[in-house]
Amino acid sequence: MIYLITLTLSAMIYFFMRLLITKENTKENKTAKIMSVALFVVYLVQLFSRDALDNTFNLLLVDIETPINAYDTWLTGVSISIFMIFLRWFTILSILFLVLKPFFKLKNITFISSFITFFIGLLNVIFFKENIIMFLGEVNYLNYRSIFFIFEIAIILAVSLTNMIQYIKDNKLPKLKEIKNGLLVFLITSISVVPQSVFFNLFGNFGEIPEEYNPIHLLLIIIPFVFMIFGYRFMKQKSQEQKDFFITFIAFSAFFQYFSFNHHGLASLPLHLCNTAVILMLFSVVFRWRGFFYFNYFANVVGALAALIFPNINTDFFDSGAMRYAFNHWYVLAWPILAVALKTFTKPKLKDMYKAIMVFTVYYVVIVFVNAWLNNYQEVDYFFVYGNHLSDMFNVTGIQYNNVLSFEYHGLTFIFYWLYQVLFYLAFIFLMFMSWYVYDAFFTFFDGRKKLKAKQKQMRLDELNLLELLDGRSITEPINPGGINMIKIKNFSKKYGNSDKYAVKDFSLEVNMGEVFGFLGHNGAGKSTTIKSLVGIQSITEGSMEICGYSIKTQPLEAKLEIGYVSDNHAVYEKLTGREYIHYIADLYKVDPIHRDERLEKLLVEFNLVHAIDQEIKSYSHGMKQKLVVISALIHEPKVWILDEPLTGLDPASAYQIKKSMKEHAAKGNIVFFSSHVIEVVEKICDRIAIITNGQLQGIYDMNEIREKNISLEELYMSKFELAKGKTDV
Amino acid sequence: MFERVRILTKLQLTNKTKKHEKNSLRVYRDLALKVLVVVLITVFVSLLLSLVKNILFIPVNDYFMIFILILTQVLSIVSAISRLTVDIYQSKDNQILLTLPAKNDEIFLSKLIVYYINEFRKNFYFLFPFLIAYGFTSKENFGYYISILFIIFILPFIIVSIAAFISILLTLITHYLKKHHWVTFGLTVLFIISVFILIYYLVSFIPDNIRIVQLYNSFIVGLTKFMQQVANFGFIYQAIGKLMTGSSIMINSLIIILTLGVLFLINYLFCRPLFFWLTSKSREHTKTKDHQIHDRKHKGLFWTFFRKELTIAKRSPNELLSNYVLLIALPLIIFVLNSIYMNMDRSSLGNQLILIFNILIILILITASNTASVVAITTEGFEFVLLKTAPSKTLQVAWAKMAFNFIITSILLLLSFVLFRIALPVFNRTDIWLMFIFAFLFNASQIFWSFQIDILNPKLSDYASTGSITDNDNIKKALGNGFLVSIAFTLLSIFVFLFFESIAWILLIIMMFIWLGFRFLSFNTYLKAYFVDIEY
Repeated sequence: MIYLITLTLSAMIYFFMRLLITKENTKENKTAKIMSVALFVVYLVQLFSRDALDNTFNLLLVDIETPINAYDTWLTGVSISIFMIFLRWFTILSILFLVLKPFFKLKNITFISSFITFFIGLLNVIFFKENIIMFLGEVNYLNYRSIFFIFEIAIILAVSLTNMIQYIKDNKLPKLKEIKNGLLVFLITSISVVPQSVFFNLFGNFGEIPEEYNPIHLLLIIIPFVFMIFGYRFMKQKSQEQKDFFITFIAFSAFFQYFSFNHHGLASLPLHLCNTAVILMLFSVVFRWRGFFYFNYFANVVGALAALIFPNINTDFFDSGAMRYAFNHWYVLAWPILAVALKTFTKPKLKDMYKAIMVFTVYYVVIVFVNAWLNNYQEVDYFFVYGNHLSDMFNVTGIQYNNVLSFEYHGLTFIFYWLYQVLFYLAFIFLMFMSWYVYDAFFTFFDGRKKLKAKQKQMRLDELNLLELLDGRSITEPINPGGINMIKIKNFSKKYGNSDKYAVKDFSLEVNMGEVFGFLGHNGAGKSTTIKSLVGIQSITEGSMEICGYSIKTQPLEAKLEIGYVSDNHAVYEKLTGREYIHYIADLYKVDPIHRDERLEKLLVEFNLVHAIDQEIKSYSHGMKQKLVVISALIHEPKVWILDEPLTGLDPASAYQIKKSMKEHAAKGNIVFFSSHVIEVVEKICDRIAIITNGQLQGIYDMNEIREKNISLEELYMSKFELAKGKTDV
Repeated sequence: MFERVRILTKLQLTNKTKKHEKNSLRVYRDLALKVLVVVLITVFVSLLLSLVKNILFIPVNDYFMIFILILTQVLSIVSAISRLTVDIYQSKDNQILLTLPAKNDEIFLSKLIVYYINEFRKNFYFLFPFLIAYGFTSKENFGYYISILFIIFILPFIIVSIAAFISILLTLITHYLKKHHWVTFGLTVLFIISVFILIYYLVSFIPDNIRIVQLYNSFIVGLTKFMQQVANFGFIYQAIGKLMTGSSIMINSLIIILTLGVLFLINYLFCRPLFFWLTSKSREHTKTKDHQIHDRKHKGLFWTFFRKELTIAKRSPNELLSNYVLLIALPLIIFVLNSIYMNMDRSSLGNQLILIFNILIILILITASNTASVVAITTEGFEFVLLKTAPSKTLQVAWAKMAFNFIITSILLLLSFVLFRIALPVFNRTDIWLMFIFAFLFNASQIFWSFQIDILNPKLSDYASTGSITDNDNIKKALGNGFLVSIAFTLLSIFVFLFFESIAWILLIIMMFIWLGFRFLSFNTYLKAYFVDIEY
């Protein structure tokens, strides 16, 4: 009869659902959500009773000494009891999947919530009588627990059937791989809602009391961290929806686990920080309330960690109370961290922590008053702010009991241990601040690793691109064999840092062998930026730069070997002597000592620096340092000599010497490329010039043509400058 | 004049502080946060003073307050002297400031004002809360709290005036010593030997069988007497303390005003004229001794870089000394501390705790001695351009610098442990050498970590423009990291010695080895990926 009622009710619910769905096809998901909430409510109601099965002790008859007579606690035979333990376990898991299914469109979840849950529902119908015995210890179909159980099974069956039909419509019958995956997910996730009495039922008191860092206590501490690491590693490659499901699933599991036992009395109200947390977890994940989430993140994680390190459990670890304590704190500790790591909630900002502190303050004030109030009726110690659990542990009972405020109101006495409670509050706030720094350190570490991986990937890609461009040639050969006698800049652009503004934009230029090429522009026009990118000091934002056919970006070593560079500042080690400095540079440019010494002696005479070469550079004048830098740039006889404002601050003789060297170097068939804002110098020694203003190339001019046309370079420059200025003003 | 000083001061302050968008909400929020911090520090110090008074039974009276004032001010003056020497006379921004249309006196004054403001900020976060907390603890009257408002403005003035005067003397001596390396060397050796002899002599005074509990009362009496004697010699600080607590107001006010006047006059008459002379001293054209170099065969880039480091180090003995001063002092510190421990009445647990305490001290000192690693790339400054333009794998420079640091610190560590072994034979020989291996591995890991910090965020431009590494965030970060790791390894040591005593050292060395491996891999990976991206 009872089977008939259950199946009829299932059929009715099913047809009711179909009717709703058929009537308004678009509301299919809404109907599913209504049924999800209904199932959740039915589940909540049945939590108000404690099942007889929970008292079953040591079904496997493990050899332990105990005052409990195991046989007296058994409700039926061993096999059926064990079977029923697992059936109840999987039924709770099925409810969890069915409650969450309408909110996520995931294939495995749909499969589980169709076929597996239907199968579990059917098993419950078949073993209906055994279920009732497990709940009540006797067969009584009229008890409210039995009636709600009928509704529970009916909804499970109806919703599963609806899902199953929809699944077959959408995907046809499930393939073997889908069945395997579905079963695997179902089995793995079953760990999250392990019935807290299962070890007690099967093994009795075989565990240990987790205290003083015994192995069980260490296990208690390690498990959430292992769970976090594996949870993260397993989920990090999944889609965001899968990650969100995972986080929601854990939040619901935490809720199911915490409330899976009927709690009696005021002391068991969920007002301890970590007990309140499971409710807040559910709210923050269902309604996306960030305030509640970050309260969990900053306050509850600290609380849960402290609870695991200093557990106040005096029962066997296999006891349901100890299991509940463990699951509660594991979830509260691991869940917020995983939720941020998997990006269900964003990485907190400092203001989120301040908000969390505010929420904690409200909670704390409420809890202090609630403790003071409820202790009039029964001894309670929510969050340990009233009793002496913590003050005993830290040996500060004196502070607690010597600083008391109390008042009477309507016959009730309100007691506040004000100093202890203020210190407790401050200590917790301090811990929250500390947690911010710990989180920040972790974020910095993981962000750094992430950037590093991206960078390494980019480097590998660049290397592969280079090999592709070289098309089988050696890596030391130029990328552009046609450009071995020139500097080639193509569409070069440069931005600094995160700036939106281009320092140089879309700059293209070719300079040939034997040329002295002048680069003219006002201060800040982009001359130094271009040169610094050309010699490899700065990166290139867009475009390409080639020296003698080598790309400075992808073949920097080969390109730099062809360059001699004189910077706009003296890059010299002042504590070395001139000779030591030149030797150092020569080593960097791989010049052998014989050639180095030959060239050095010649250049020293040319630049009149023989007398000072063995003295420390710190004793040199500005001009002497500049000459030394010029010598160091020429020590490897570069094909391309690049100088950035080389004549600034030099006396006429030194300036003349350097100009002479520039001409001679070009005459040998090399390139001399230099920047200046001194028009007369450029006019005098250059073969060609380029004018740059505000980061844009204004033109390239042949000095012979300019001279032939009798155009003043100064006037030409000013006209370009004014033109560019006008454009900028507009 | 005042307008120019104001502009100069503002210019320097803006350069040294972070710029934020002007936003009234932000200003109020910052202000509220600062007040909150001060309130929290005050509460904390109040609790601390209660602890000192009620649990440690040290009298918190006027002498105590004056003693703390003297202690903090002396420390501030010492720190100010070293910073002012760099910031006033050797700062590279002098070259800019001296060219501005302002008198040298005004530049000097603006620099002192900038330093005064920084000192005031420091006092605001420590001395201000301390004085208020002291007021609460010893139940001072209203006048005391009013006097704090004046005193916190006077104290930084005293620090800056004294430091400015002493730093100028020090700069003159430094200039002399820079020209006479042998005198410097001789004085340094003499100083080190004197310190060792002095310490050895002092250590012989440590009584046998120190029993802390029994000695506590006499220790407290001795400490109280010592504080009183120091307070009696506190001159201006004694006058400040007495003025604040309301005794002999007229005389003490007069002493304070006179002292401030004298300090002002000394700076006006002595330091001000010398400032320009000292800052404008150039080394250009100073004929230095010719250095003949032995032309060694080029053996690869690593040796090129290593040789350069060695040459520069040889010619900068003072920098070398200041970089490794804590490691040089390590044997001394270890000797003093252990001499005290050895004379204590100890249990076997006490012996283990001494060993663990040694570990903590050594790790912290190693951490503090690694600042050279965390600025190794930064101190290349503008010269880093050479590495950017060179056609070689210049990341070898990092390995060369690291090898150099590693060799120097390892030698100093080895020396410390040899002395440790000789001076304290009571320790088990194996324990000492195992501790050496542990410290050696930690030192290497700390060098890798510090280098990594610098590679990820080198302050090349800052160093190139100022020539100074003060206020370098990387140093703070490296010290903070090192301190935390030292604490973590000390906690691990406690755990390991308590639960696995027989294999404690092996476990610790294995853990340190793993940590070193991790730091090495991390450094190597970051170096390969990011060295090429370092931009001047």
